[in-house]
Amino acid sequence: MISDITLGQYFPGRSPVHRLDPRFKIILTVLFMVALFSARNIFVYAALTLFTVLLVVSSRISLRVVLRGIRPLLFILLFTLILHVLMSTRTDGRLLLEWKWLSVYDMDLYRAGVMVLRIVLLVVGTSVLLSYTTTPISLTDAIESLLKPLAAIRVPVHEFAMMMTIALRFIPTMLEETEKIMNAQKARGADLSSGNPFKRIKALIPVLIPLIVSAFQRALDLATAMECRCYRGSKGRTKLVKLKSTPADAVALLLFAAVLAGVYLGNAYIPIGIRVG
Amino acid sequence: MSSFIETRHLTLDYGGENGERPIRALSDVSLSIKEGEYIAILGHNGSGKSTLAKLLDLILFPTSGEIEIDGKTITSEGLSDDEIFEIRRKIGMVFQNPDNQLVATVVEEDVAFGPENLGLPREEIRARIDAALETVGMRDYARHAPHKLSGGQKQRVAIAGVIAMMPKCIIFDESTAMLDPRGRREVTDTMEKLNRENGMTILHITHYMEEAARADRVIVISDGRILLDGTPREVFSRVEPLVACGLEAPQGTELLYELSLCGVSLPSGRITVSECADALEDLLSGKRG
Repeated sequence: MISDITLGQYFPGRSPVHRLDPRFKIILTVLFMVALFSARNIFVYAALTLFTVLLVVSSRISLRVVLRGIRPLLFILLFTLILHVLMSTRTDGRLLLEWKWLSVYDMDLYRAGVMVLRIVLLVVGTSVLLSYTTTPISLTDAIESLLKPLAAIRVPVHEFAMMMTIALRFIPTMLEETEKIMNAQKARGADLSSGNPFKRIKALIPVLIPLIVSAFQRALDLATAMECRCYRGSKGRTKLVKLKSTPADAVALLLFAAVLAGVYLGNAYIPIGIRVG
Repeated sequence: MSSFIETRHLTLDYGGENGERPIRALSDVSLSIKEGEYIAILGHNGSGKSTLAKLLDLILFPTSGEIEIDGKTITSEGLSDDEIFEIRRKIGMVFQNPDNQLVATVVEEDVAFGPENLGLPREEIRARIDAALETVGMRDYARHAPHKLSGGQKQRVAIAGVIAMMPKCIIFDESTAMLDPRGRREVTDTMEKLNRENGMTILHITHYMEEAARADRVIVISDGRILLDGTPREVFSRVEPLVACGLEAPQGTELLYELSLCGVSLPSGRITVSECADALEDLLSGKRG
């Protein structure tokens, strides 16, 4: 059943990572990404890899889940690897292979390897920090809360967060409906799963049109229902859930800041090792 | 008790913008609803019964005539946003499609939506959620995702969302139409409970006779006009006008009516299945004896 697809990929749990304030998690993710892209030395990369592993361990997300998260990336990783090795125009390091226009230096291999590692760490780190351990709804709350200062310059922050919440709410409903429409069309002889890709996309049109029409109907109904429940934007509105930060959040923030500082110090002062990027 | 809702010569036309002839959805509807009443509004598709609900919750404004809700008069002029807000917190509305009225991804957060809009303090919202979910019997599902619930359960969550705003009156606009028999019973049981135990005014718009029979008062609307208004017993005994406007009297009542047309003398005003069965039994045993 399509409707079994879970919202995001949240795995319920009570680990230290789960319990962090989602607002802090977003900031931590940004710090982590900056650190990852600032690293220049392979020893620093080794340290960041270790850090990411520790992050996964402390989130108590099973290794299997994490690996499954990387699997869809295999193609992109392979593509990156090949592109970096073959298309590099730099000519530093030792020449390993030369054939017609193609020349492969060992530095190309290092750079390609680091690029792949960077993508893997990026995906693993951000999904452990955000998608695996944070419910979509608290993520939305966090985004609303972090962007609140922008409301002063008339950015519709509340409306944006409300849109995200409603989108999340309706994903399963729309999936269910898609399945229903697909079955209805199949029952009338529609062939949705054979033929070339172009044909298959064309076959989806009779599914998409009723889906879109009904989405508009739902939107109208929902808007009326919301008005009847006294909704009038953020005006005079309170919130049930209040995000609370704990000392643990401050500790995590310091830790990530230290990692980022470590990356810069490592870049500057580690004399040995191969410099990449 | 004075009336909580009163409509005077309420008329509503749809369309008619580009020189077309407007369609009259409601014409000259005058009725008075007291606080604490449990009323069923019956009508065929297109009879204007949902239009009436939309007028009472200020989704539409009358073409002519006026509505008075809790002392506030509404005319074709419309109202300011703040005035609408004040009326909507007194009258809650539960719609037909349970999927299209739930906003949040977690049951309790959806119930919180209304109270949040009212700007209530956090502790108050918490207390109201718990009380509302308790009332509709969904307390155990507070942390569930709405899309995993049954239709009846979703509709009860929607009701909880309205109760949490503590309105004086709830309008159910065909809220049982999309549910299976079990879901329908869950929802009508909840309505009855809200009326009997919490003294809430209930307006139940439906086309199911059995559901209407549970109300204290039944109003039948046909072609935008009030056709019948009285207790279920009074209304359902009038088989002829009911059938004329495309509704069916409860089956037992209709059977007795048909028999009486054939010249059999039977008591009128029997509406439940057992009452009708008793009437028939009396008749048959009387004939034998």
